[in-house]
Amino acid sequence: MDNARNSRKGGKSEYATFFLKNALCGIALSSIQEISKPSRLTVVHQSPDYVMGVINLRGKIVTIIDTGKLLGLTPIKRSDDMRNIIVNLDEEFVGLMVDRIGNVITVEPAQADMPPANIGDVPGRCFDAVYKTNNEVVGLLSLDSIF
Amino acid sequence: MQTPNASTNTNVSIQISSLEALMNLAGELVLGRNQLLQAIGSDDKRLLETTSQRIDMVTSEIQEQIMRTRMQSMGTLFDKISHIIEELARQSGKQVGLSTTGKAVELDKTILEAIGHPLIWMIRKAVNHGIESPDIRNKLKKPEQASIELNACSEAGQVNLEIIDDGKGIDPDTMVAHAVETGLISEKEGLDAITEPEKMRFVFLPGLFADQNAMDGSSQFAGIHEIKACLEKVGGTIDINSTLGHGTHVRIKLPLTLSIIPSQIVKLGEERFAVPQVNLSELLRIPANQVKNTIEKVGGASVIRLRGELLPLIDLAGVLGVARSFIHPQDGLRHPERRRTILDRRSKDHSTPEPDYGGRERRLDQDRRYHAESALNIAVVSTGKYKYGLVVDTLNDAEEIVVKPLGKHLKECRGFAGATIMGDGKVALILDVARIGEISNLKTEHNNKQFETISGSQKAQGVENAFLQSYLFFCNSEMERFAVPLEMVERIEKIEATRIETVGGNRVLKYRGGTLPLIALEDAIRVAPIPERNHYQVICFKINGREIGVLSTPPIDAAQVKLTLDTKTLKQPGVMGSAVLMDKTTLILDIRQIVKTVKPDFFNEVCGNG
Repeated sequence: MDNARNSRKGGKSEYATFFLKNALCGIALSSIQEISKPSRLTVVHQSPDYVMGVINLRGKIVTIIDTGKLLGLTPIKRSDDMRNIIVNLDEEFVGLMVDRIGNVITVEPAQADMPPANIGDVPGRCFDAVYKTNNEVVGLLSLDSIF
Repeated sequence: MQTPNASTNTNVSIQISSLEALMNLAGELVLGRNQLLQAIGSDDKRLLETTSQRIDMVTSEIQEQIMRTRMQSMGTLFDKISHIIEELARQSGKQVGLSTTGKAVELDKTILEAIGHPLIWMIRKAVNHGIESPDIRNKLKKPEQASIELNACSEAGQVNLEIIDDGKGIDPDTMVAHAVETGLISEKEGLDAITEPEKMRFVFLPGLFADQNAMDGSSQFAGIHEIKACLEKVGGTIDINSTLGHGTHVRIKLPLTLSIIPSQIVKLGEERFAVPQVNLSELLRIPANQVKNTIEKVGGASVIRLRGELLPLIDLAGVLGVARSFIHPQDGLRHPERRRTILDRRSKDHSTPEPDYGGRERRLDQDRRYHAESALNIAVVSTGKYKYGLVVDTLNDAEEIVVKPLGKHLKECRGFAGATIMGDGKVALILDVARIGEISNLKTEHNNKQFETISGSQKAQGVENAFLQSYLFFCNSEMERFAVPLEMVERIEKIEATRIETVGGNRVLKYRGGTLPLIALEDAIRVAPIPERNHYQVICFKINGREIGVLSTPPIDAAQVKLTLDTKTLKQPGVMGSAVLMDKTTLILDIRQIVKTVKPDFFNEVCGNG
């Protein structure tokens, strides 16, 4: 994403972090519309298997994606912690279901590195960069490469 | 059905006043929300009531106002058409006067855009091909200046459009005759009895005007079936009335808007689906104990006999790949379905001997297959191409729904035209009836008009004469079915029983100035006699140049079948053999032999000939 690239050049940017099983990932705050608790899903039959269904977001039909399955990891486990990150993808809202939501972090450009081959089990191509906080490594996801 | 986002990159011009009205309403809505929050916070029931009332009003007003911004008047389109007519008239040296009414009638922008092309197409054809040149008009004693009327009016949530010209028109009878001639209509039955408007419906038969010189006035209508398809895409209907020499009257009905459509809500388990009302013909409920009698299996597919017409059935759960489930009447819980087909019933009236379960748990008498709740609910739907029954679990109410597009990740999901939000806030999917027909047609290879079946189990015995042939199926007594090769049949007539006379021991029918000898099958072969009826179907054959009618009872069907003829089991003089077609034993008749038995005189004169 532009933000990640900018961050390497010098500008600070904010990322919302979330967990996919144990892997900590981040997504640019600017691309996020909102984060919501899962609401009642309507299953769409014959849809791709990474699509969990559709929800009504204030009159808009939003497709909910199982982010775990989309990235080829374990599917999201139903729990009270799971959250729906609604992102704006080419003028359309799409919901990314994640296992658990983390903090918002500010990425210092100096600490962002090129992504390794993989983080946890997530393939490296999904990430724009990796960011090391004091004790953790966050993979910064880009919407362009995961869809 | 087109979803509203299909034209996202087009613009609409709005009057400032209506924008201001919207701003004002948005302000009201904010006030309403504040009140609502306050009412909820203070737990004030009365305030809550007044607030909800206020929000209700504001919401519907906003909706109305926003709908209005999408509406545009017919004026621009009418002006455009007027220019086109002038231009065309000048080029062809014809004189055409246009009169319009209802320029101010408003229509949703999407629909207005969609009908522009069809309307102009029809006007162009009317001027170029329908309207005669001035000297011909003079000879026909018509006014030199031809007239075209263009009327629009809104009525009961619909917009009616009329195009009336006084050109040469087309003769419905000639059209029907041509359709029969070219083989586009194969069924000759009842063609004499159909009304003028029904005849005019053949104008939409694709390929009817392939040879433009075949009949007078055909060039005006060549390709009109495509226009019909265009209009149907936006939920419109078209009717044409025409008289040769007097002109054509086209009536088009259009919905006011595409984004709100009346729909029938159906349910599969707990999931709801919307079927657009335009596609819906009727709703059927088959009680559990009648399922076995009304529904038949043809090949792998189920069909229902509905007023003499065979209607394929599509199981919605099967098409969508939904695991069927049901609520058990005893424990009230949802269980997965064990029945493999919708036909699987064991009602008490038609019970079959229970098989030996061989030690396995024998099902109790309260087996759900006996239960009244297992009635079959069917929504009969039709599109241009298909007509079929959609089997669902429950039929709910009809509702007006707002069509919303599905996201791009779901573009590959066939069978859905979009989504809508139900009263409880949950999303329901809108079924695309045409696509579902397509999907299941691929699966079942089952077509409305034609069914192809062979008996796989009967191959063991008899001669195998497997080739595709057209047969006409009919009944004598209702229990037995017969078939004759279709090419033997001259025509089929529906007659009243009172028209049959018995003269000198022979049944005859007064017919077109002559008499048609009638025979019944039981006169010639050993079959159950034909029951007394008010009406009979007479199948006419031509034997050695003379016509003879065979009495029969409906249903009469024509179909192409692959026949595996069993020439041993049920063979008798006049019967070539039997075959199992559509799961029913059918006797294939030797009509010449039957006539020979009953009316030997048919063969006496030209003995041994043909």
